[in-house]
Amino acid sequence: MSSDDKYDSALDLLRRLDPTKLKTNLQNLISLEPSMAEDLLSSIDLPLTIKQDPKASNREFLCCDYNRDMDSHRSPWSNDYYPQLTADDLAESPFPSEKLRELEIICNDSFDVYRDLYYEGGVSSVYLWDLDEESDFAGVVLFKKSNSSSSNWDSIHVIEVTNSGNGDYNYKVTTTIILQLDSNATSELKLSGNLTRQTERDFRVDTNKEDQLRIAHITNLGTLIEDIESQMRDMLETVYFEKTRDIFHQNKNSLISRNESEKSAQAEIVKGLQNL
Amino acid sequence: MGNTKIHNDPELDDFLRRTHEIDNERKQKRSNKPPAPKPKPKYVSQRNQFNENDLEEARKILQSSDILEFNEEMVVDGSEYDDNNNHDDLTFKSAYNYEKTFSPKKKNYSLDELDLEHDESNLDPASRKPQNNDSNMEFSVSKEDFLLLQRIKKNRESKIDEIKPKGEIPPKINKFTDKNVPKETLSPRKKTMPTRGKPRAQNVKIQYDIEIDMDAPSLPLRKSQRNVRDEEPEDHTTENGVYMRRFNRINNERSSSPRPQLPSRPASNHPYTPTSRDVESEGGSSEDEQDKPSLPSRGHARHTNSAKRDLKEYPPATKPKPNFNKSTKEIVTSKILKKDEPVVIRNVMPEPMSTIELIDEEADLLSFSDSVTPPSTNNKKIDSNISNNSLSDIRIPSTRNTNSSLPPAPPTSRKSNETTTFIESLNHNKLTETHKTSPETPKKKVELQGIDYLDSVQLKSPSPHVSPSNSQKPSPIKPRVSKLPRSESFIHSALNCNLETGKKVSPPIGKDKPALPTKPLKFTNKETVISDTEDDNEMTDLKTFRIKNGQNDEASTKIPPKVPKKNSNIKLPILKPVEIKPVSTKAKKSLNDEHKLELPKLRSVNGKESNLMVNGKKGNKPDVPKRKPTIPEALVNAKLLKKTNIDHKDSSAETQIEPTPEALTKKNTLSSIKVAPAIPERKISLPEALKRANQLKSQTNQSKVLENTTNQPINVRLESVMALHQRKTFNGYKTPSEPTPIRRISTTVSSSSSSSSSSTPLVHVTKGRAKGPRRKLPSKI
Repeated sequence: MSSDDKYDSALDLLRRLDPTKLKTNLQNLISLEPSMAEDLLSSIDLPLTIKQDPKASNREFLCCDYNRDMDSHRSPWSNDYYPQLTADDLAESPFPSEKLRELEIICNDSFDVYRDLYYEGGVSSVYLWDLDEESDFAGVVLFKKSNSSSSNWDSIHVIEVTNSGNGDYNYKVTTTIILQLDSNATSELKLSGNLTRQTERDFRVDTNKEDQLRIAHITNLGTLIEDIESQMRDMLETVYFEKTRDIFHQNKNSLISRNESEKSAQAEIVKGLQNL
Repeated sequence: MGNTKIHNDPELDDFLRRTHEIDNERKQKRSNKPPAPKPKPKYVSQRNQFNENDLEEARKILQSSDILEFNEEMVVDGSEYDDNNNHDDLTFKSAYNYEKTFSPKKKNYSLDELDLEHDESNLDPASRKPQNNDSNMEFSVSKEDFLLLQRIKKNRESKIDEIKPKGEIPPKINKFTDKNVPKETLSPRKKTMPTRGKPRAQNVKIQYDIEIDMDAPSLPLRKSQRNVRDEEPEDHTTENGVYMRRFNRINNERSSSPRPQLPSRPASNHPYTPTSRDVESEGGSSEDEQDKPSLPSRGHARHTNSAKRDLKEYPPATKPKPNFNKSTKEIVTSKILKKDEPVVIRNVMPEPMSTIELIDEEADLLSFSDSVTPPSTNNKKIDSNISNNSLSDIRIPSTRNTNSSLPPAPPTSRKSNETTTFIESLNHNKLTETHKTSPETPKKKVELQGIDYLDSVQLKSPSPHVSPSNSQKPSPIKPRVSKLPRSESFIHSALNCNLETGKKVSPPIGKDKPALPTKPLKFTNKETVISDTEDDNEMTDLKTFRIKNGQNDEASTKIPPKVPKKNSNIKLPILKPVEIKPVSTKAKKSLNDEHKLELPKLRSVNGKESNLMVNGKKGNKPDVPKRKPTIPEALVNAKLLKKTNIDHKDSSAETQIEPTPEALTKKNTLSSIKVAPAIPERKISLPEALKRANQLKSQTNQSKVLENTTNQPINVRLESVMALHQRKTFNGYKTPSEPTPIRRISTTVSSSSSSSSSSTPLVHVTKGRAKGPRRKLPSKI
């Protein structure tokens, strides 16, 4: 079994397991196949966590695998890892380039506004990293809103901007929304799941100026994330909640459905026999 | 008083004097009881003084006049004890008290027993007390009443003195009055008269009933009655006749029974009786006819003194007395029994008796006074009693007199002046009378009790209703009705009674009509003309009207048939319009005439309206002018419609011509073409083409599977079919309820798609995304 198959099987497995116990399942898989740890950690989206940046007046920031190094997470506000890493670790720890850091700062500010507009609370964080190409960069835009510990809206937008040349930039956004709903501790009803979509869009940026390029990237990313989130939100409504409705209706009309299904099966069998 | 009388009666008797003397001798012989003999000598000495010294004088006085009899009762009231000089009174008292002493004898008491009792003890202590204490006198008689009696005595004596001056009587009273009574109170009667009622109301005593007889208002009535009947011609006793009447009643009542026996008894044998009769005859010459029976009673009493056995014969004659006792029970019970009373009764009645019986006996004794008490009515009874010889003959007319004539007279005088207490006393008196009549006429008792229900015997308006026997009652009732308004309560009761009777009469008259102001006047006028001519104009006397109706129920029965005629006359006009409609054709004619009249009215109105329209005035009905122009418009339209039909026909003909060529042209064109137009081919996009291609492939695959299955055995075929079905269900496609070939295709398509999807592995989007910078793995992992 090749590594890809393992990887794919691991991904399939984690897709079908309980989303609330995704972290444990992931650790168990990594424990089973440590070689896949890096891939699994980067490909499996876990619920976001929140940390505070002491240098940024304990401003909260979101933590994911993209801003992690070792056991610490980098803060977008101060660009430091918390808990702080050793110097050696820091030297090896990833940090965005300066240009990208500037963009990261602007993106954090802009998406913070976005967060404030759409979420009316919560925490947002944007982390960028450089790619192989200078003009390309990747990043992650995180939003988290949790009214309670049990109910969470975690949206993880992993962006990947590639310059196709001639001023065209390809924006590839892989969005994962982890929704976990627990009405109350007493009630046993829980809704949790994750939805992942990937969209790509190309934008032309006719400027060579970095400032305008930053602004263009921010605007393109912003518009792209805005659209994707709206779509994803609609999909969640139709998927999660409509699915629950279907479940209720099926449970209620199970007898009818059974009878109908049996009749249909019987009819098909008879027709198949007639054709014989 | 009854007790005092009893004390006095034996004391004054000659017979008792003898017995007292004998008893005193016995006592002196037997026992040396200090209290008993000591009072006796005083009292007896007085008696002896009176009796021994003045017996003859008293006898002379008896022969002289009846006034002495009057004075006897004065002595009975107790004045004698104080007056030692009243020898004559004592003698007469002796004669009077004989009778009373014999009254128990009549009740089957033997003289021997009485003598013993008189002799032994009771007489003497009773006699002591009144002498010792004036207050004891007050117990028996209220002072005021006693004084009044004394005043009356004075007045009488003064009159008697004028007629027959005798030196013995006036000083008696004068002494008494000089001693006890102030002069101011003695002179005016009238001033004291109204004051009598108060002490009577307070002190209900036997003398109270006696004093009622003394009332001034009763006296003038007696005069009038006596003058009318001439039964009591005594002139000098008219005013003082109360005492005389009492005495006479007592004598009469007692003598009534023995009268048949008396003639058998040789009353003439005794010297006293002829003298008394002579005196009475002399009194009769002085217009005192009532006193005649009284004197024989005295004589009879004096005869009893001589012959005790003869008195034993009286009891059957005195049987009515218990009846009197019953009547007087109420009065007696109201009394306060005193120590003296039972003692006196013992004197009278030797046999041991219960307290009630003692009271009865007191009542018996009192009945003598009570018989005197009923003021005016009893006087007439006495008259009747005097006139009749037998008790039955005496009593029946007495009641008749009370019912018919006597009672209406007292209310006129008393009712206006005096209080209700006095009326109550009258009621008591009349009850006594009724009890007297009770044994023989129980029905009349009931009637009189019904009268008591109305608080006044005076008003006998209900009594005539109760007793239909009196046919002449309605006429005397009218003035009584006029008296009714004095007491409102009785008025209401009487009015209610009368209203009830009046209601019975009124319904035929029509009660609803009196509500109308005019009709009652008519009715009243008519009825008053029928009944009385009095007060026809005043409608305010509806009460009297109703009362009259109530009284004249029988007479008014003639009125109702007349009245319904009026009602029928009144109702007919109401019924006529209702009932006559089907019967009378005149109404139909009138209705037809009305309808006919209505039509010409409309026509006339139209004419008027047309005139108004011509004149430019606005008519009330705008419909009429519209109709006239509409008619020509319709005609015009009809003409137009005909024309239009013609036009349509023409046009239709033209139009029919037109479509035919169109159709023909089309047909021609169609026939000319003969080649179907080329259908534009649909441009199918690539994805759709791919889908259809896949569908076709799947169909071909199914056909192949089926073909393969045909070649395979049945079990294999079934498994293949079941597998296909399971795929359908497992993929979640909704199976159609009716397996149509089209849906079968769809199912196949879905199955194909499912198979295609199932064939394609899960695409993990995250697998292809950016993995982030290189970083170290966490320490936990």
